[in-house]
Amino acid sequence: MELMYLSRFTLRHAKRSPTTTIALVAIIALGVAVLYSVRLANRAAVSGFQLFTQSLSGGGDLIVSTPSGKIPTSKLPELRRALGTLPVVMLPVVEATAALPGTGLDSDDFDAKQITLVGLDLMALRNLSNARGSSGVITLQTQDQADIQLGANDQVYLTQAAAELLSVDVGDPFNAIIGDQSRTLKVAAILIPGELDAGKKESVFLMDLPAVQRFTDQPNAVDRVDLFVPEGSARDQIMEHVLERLEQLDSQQWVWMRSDEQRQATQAMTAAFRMNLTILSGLSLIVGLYLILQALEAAVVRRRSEIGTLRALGFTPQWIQRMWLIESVLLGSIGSALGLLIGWLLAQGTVQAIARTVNALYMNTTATAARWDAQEATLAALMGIVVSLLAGWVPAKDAASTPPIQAIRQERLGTQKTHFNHTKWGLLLAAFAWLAHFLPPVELAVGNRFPLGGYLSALFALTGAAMLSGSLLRSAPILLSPFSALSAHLRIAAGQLKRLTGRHRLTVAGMVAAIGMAAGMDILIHSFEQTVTNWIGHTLKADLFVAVKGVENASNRNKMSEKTWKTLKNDPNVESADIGHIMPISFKGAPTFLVGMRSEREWDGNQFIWIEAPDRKINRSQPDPSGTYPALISESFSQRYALRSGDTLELPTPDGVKTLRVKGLFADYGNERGSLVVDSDLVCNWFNDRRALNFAATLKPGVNPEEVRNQWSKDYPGLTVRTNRALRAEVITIFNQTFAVTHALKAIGILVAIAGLALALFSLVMERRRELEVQREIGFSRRDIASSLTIEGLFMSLYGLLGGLIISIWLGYILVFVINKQSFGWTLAFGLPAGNLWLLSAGIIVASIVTCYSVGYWSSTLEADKEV
Amino acid sequence: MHRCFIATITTLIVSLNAWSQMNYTEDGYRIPTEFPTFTFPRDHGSHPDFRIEWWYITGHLHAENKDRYGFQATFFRYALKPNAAAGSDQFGDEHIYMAHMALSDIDQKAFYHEERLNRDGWDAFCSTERMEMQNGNWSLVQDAENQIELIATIQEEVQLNLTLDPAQPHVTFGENGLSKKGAETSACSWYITYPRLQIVGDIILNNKSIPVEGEAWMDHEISSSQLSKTQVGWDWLSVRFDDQTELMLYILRDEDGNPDPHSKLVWISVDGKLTHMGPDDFSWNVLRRWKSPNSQSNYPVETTLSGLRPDGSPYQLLIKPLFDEQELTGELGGIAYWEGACDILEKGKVVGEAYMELTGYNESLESQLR
Amino acid sequence: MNSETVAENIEIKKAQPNLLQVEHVCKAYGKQMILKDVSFSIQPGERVALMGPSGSGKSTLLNLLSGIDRPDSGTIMLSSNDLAQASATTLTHIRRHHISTIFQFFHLLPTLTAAENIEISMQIAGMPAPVRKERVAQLLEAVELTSHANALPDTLSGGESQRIAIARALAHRPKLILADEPTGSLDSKSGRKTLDLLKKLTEKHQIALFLVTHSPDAAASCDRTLNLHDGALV
Repeated sequence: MELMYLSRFTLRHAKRSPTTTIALVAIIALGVAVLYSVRLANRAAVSGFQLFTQSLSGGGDLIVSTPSGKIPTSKLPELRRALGTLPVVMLPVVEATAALPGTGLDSDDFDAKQITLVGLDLMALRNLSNARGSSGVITLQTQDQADIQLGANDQVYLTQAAAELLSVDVGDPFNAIIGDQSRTLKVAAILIPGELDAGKKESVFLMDLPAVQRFTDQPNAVDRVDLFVPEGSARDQIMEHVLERLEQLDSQQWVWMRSDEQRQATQAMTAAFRMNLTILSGLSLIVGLYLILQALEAAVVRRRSEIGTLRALGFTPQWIQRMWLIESVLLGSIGSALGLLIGWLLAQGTVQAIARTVNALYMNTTATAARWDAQEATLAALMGIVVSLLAGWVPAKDAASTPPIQAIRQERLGTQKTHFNHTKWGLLLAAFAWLAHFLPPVELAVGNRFPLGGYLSALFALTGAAMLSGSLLRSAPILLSPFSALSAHLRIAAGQLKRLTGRHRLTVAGMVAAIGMAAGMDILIHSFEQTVTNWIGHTLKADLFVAVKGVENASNRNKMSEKTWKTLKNDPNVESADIGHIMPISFKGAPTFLVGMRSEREWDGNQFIWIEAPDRKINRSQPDPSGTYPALISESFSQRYALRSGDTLELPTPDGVKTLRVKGLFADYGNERGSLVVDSDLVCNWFNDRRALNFAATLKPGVNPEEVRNQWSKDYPGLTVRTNRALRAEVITIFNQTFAVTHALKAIGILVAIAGLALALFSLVMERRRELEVQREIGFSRRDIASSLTIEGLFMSLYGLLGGLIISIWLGYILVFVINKQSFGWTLAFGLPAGNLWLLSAGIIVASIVTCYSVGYWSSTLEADKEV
Repeated sequence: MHRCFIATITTLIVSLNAWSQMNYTEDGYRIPTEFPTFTFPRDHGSHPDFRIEWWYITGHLHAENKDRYGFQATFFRYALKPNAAAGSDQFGDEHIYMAHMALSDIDQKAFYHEERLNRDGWDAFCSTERMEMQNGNWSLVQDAENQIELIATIQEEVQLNLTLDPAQPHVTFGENGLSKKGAETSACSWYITYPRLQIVGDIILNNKSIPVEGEAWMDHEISSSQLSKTQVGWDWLSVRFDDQTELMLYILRDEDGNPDPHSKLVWISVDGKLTHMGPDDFSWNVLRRWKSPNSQSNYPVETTLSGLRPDGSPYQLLIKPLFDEQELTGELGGIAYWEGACDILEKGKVVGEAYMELTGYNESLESQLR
Repeated sequence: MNSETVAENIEIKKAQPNLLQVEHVCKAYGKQMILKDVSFSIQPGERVALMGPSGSGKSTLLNLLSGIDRPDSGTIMLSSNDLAQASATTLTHIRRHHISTIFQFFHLLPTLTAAENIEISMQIAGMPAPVRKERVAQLLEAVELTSHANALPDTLSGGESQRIAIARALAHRPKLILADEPTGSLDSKSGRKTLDLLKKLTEKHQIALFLVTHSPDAAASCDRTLNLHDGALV
C-alpha cells in the first residue's frame, strides 16, 4: 500500500512538476550545504593547527621547554639528571622559519611562503628507533646512509609536500631566506611519507641541529626538548615515573606538557576564535533548519487537497502522516546528499577566508583545502533528514487532522490566533539582552577569555528584536490602507498584510536577525578600522621599516642579526633608528610578547597612545633598590593578566626570574597576545639574543626614502624594506585579512535574508493559488500579480531591514565594547559605517524587489486545480 | 678487540685513511707509543687526541636462586676532528659516542640489547679526569676507591644497577705497553684491562628486581686506527678461570680466514704476570656454527682452543655458548656481531666463565670492512 | 443536426452582430478529444445555458471562453478579438473590460472586505475612485448586502458570498458573464434567489450570460439551452 502510494503519488508528483521537486530538493540541499560547509571550514582551520603541532613534535610523548621559550644547552643535563635512569630518549628541537623568496625586489613579499625549518640532532634521531621501533620515527632513510653530513650548513631534508612545493629533487639546490640571509640549500633527501606524521601534507625542512642554531644566531640554545618514552608493556609505568620526575622540576625554570596537551594548548589559544566559528556554524544550522522547514511546508501546502481527498476516501490521518514522513525522508535524503556535495565545494572557499584569519592572528595554518569529513557529513545529512522529517510532519499532521472538506477547499493555514505573545516575549528578551551585557567574561585558559555575556546579550537582542518586529509588522497595513484606493496592487498587498500569517512573522524575524548581524559586523569592522588607522598615524612615524621577510606572520621565527641591524643603523642616510627586540614568550602558561625598547627614546606620547601614562623620568635600564625593573604593558596584556600600573610581575628569563613593575599602560592593536615593554638592553642581556625582529629608521632630511629602500633591498635580499606609506597599506591588508572571516559571516547573513524571503513568498503563493486565479479572472495581468506580491514582500523586507539596522547598533555596541574588549583586550572607538549601511540597505531592497517580483511573476500562472 | 664500531663509524662519516707518520696519523690524530706513562685515575678517562677509544665490560651474573645472566656494556668514543681536546662552541662536532648494552637471560634463553648513538654534548660525554661517561640515561663512573658503577637500561624491559670492584689490579697488554694489531705503524693501541671485577647489584627484568652477584672483565682501549687493510674480522675471547687466572685471546682473520700474525693469546697469572703468545702457539678449531636468522651470518659459536700453558703443560679448552642467540643486530651501526656468555670446559668439567666476540661473519659486511 | 447547419441557422436568425461567436472549436488533452467542432454564438444581452453530463466538456469550454485555455483549432470571437489567438495582454484587457466569471465556490479574495472585493475588479480595470465608490454602493444595494460592506468573506454565508461575487462580476460593466455552476454549492432557497438576482441584473444592464449548469431549473431561467454531449453540441 505504502509503496503503491509512493509510486503513484510521490513519484508522479515529482514527474509532473520536475521544477518544483528540483527546487524543493535544492532548498534542502542548500540548508545542508550551508551547515556542512561552515563546519568543514571550521574543522579545516582547526586541523590546520593540529597538523602544524604534530609535524613539529614528530610524535614525542612530552614536550619540555622554559617559560622564556629558550633552553640554554647548558641547562639540558639538568633535565637528564631530573629523569635519572628512566629510559627516555630526549630530542632537542630548534624551530625556525624559512621563507621562499618572492618574485623580485619590488614584489610584495607579504604572502611569501613560510616553511617551518626544524633543527634536530640528526644523529640522536636514530635512537628513536629504540623508543619507537620502526614506526612513526624520522629515520632519515636515504639511498645511502653515508649521505648524512653532520652539522652541514646546506643539507636539508624535505617532506614530500615541501619537495612538491619547490619542485625539487634530491641533490637540487634552492634558495630560502633564513634569519635575514638568503641561503642556498641542497636537498639531501626527501623524507619517506609517514616518517613525519604530517609529512605528506605539511611542508617542513629538516636540518641538523647545529646548522639551524647557527642560522638563528643561537648556538647555545634550543627551543624545546621532545621526550620519547619507549613502547612496550612497561611504557605506562615509565610514563608515570617520568611525569613524577617532571612534577619535581622548578616550574619557574621549566615548563612541560604532554604532546597531546600541547595540541590542546594550541587549541586553547585559539578558543575564542574557534568559539566564534562554532557560533557561526550554529547560525548556519538554524539557517539550514529555517530553509528546509519553509521548503517542505510549502510542499505540504501544495497538496492539501490531495490529503483531503485521501481523508475523504477513508485513509486514517496516521497513515497519511506516515506517507508524508516517508516522502519527507526521501526528499531529505536526496537533498542532503546533494547538499553535502555543494557544502564541500563551498567549504573550499570559506576555508581560505578562515585560514587567512588564523594566519594573521595566530600562527601558520596550512589548511588550504577542506577535507571531506565523515563525521561532519553525517551530522549535516542527519540534520537535513531530521529537519525534513519534522518539517513534513508538522504541516502534514495539521493537514491530516483537519476535516477533509476544509482541506479540499484549501483554506488558508496559519491564520489561527496563537496564545504566544510575541510583544511580551520580545520586550522580556530585550531586557535580558541589556542585563547580559554586564556579565564578566569567562576565563577559558590563562589569558584567554570568552565573552559569554556579550554573546548572550547579542543572542537575546537578536531574538527579542525578531519577535518584536513580527508584532511591528502589524502596522504595515495601517500605513498601506490609506493608499489602497490608489492602486489595486496596494489594496491586494494591504489585504494580505492585514491577515498576517506565522510565515510573515518568521520571514521578518529571519531578516531582522540576518541583517542585524551583517550590519553589526560592519559596525565592528568600521570601528576597528577607524581606531587602527588612528593608531597607525600615531605610532608609525619613521621613514623606513625593515623586517625579515614574512615576519608579519604570527608564527614566523626569523630575526635580523646584530651585524645587519648595526650596519643599517650606521648607514649615513639614517638619522635615528628604533630596533625592535621582540621575544615571543610564555607567561603564566599563555603566549605573549616581550618587547625591548631602546633606551635613548623617551617613553612619551609620541610613540604610545597612553591609557595610563608613566612617569617620564624613570631610569629604565637599571633596577630600583628593591631589584625591580620598570615596564610598560599593552592593554591586551593588562586585560589578559589582570595587571595595572603599579603592579609587579615575575618574569622568567633564561637569565633567571626578573621582577618588573608596571609603570604605564598603552593602547596596542598590533596583536591580541599583549606586549610587555622593557628596556631593550635588558631584553638582549636576559635572553642573550641581540637579534632584532624589526628596525625602523628615520632618515636625514632631504634623503629620498625610496632610494634608500631600493639600495637596502638590493643589499639584503632577506629583508623586506618598506616605506612608511607601504607599511601603512600593509597594516590595512593585515587588518582586512584578520576580518576575512567576518565577511563570510556577513555574506551568509544577506544570503539567508533573501533566501528566506523568497521561500516565504513561494509558500505564500502556493497557498494562494486560488486567489491568484481569481485575480486573473478579474483582470489581473502577470505583472499586476507580481507587483502586488512585490509590495507585500517589500514591506516585509523593509520591516526586516529597519529592525535589523536598529538591532545592529546594539550588536555593534556589544561587539565593540563587550565581545572585542573582553576577548582581545582592545579599546575601540565606536563608528557607524554610514556608507556601508546605506549600501547594505539598498542591496537588500533591490534584492528583495527582484526576488519578490520573480516569485510573483512565476506564480501568476499557477492554476488552482492543478498540481504544480 | 670488540671493535666492529669502527666500521660503523666509517660508513657513517668518512672513510678511514690513516697512513701513519711518526706519532700522528696523516689526518692529525695521535698514535699510541711504547712505554706509555699512565697516571690513574686520569688515564681511565678519555683521551680526546686519539681517534678511537672504548670501555668494554662483559660479565656473568648469578641470582640467589641460581639463575644465570650474562651482560655486556660498551661505551665508545670516536673523534670527529683532531685536537678535539681544544673544545668547540658548536654542538656535537667533536666526538660521537656510541654505546651497546646487552643482557643474556641464560635460563630463559632471552637476549635483550640496545644501541645508542649520540654526539658529544649535553646528553653524552666522557671525562678526561677519570672513568666517567654518560650516554643518555646510561652511565659508567669510577669513584676514588676504584669502584665502578654501571647504570643502564635496555628498552623499557631491563635495568642494570651494578657495582664493580677490581679483584685484581689492571694490566696493560702488549709488548712494552703497546698492543700491535697490524703491520702499519698506526695499527696499535694502548690496552688497559681489569681482568676480574667483583660485581654486586641488581637487575630489574620485566618489573622484577633481582639481586645478583658475579664477575666481569673490562677493557679500556685507546688508539687512532686499529685495522689492517687485509683484516676482515676477528674473534675475541676473555676467560676467568676458577683458579683465579685469566686468559685473553684475539684472532685477526685475513681474507682467507687465516689468523693474522698479530693475533695474540695472553695468560694472566694470579699475581698479574702476563705471558703473550703468537698464533703459532695455539690452535683454534670450530666445532659448531650457528646461522643467525637475522643477519644470515654463520657464527662459529662452539670452538676448542688448545696449546701449551706458560708452565709448558698442554691444555684443550671447550668454549661453549650458554645459548646461541646472543647476536647484536646492529640497528644503528648497521653491523651485526655475536657477543655471548660462554662456559669454559676442560675434560668435560666447567673450569671458568668466558665472553666471546665474533665479528665479520657476514659476507656483505666483510666487503664493507675491507 | 450537424454543427454547420446550427451555425447557419444562427447566422440567419440574428439581425444584430453577435457578441460571442464560437466556430469549429476543437480541444484535446493528449489523445482524448474533449471538444469536437463546437460552434455557437451569443448575442448581446442573451442568456444561454449549457447543460451536459459530467465529462462532456463543459468546464473545458468555459475555460476557453474565459481565455484561461486555448482551443487546438477554431475561433472564439469576442468583441472582434479572437480569443484563440489573442496575446496575454489582450486576454487581460478582455477580462478587465468585457467578461466576468462567477464560480461555484465564489472565489472571493479572502483578505479583502465585501466592498473591496467588488471594487478591486473596477480598480484593476482603471476606473476612477469616485466612480468606483458610487458603483460599489449601488451594487451592494442591488444585491441587498449594503450592511455587509465591510465584512470579510469568511464571515459571509454561501448565498451572501455568491451575491457579492455577482456584484463583483457586474462591477466593471462586462458584456458577458460566464457562470460556472453558480448555485452548485448553495441550498435551493439561496440558489433560487441567486438565479433571480442574476437574471434581474443581467436583464437590467443588458449583459449576456453564459451559464454552465446541471440544474434544469437554472437552465429554465435562460433564453435558450445548449446541450453538450461527449464534446459535441447536440
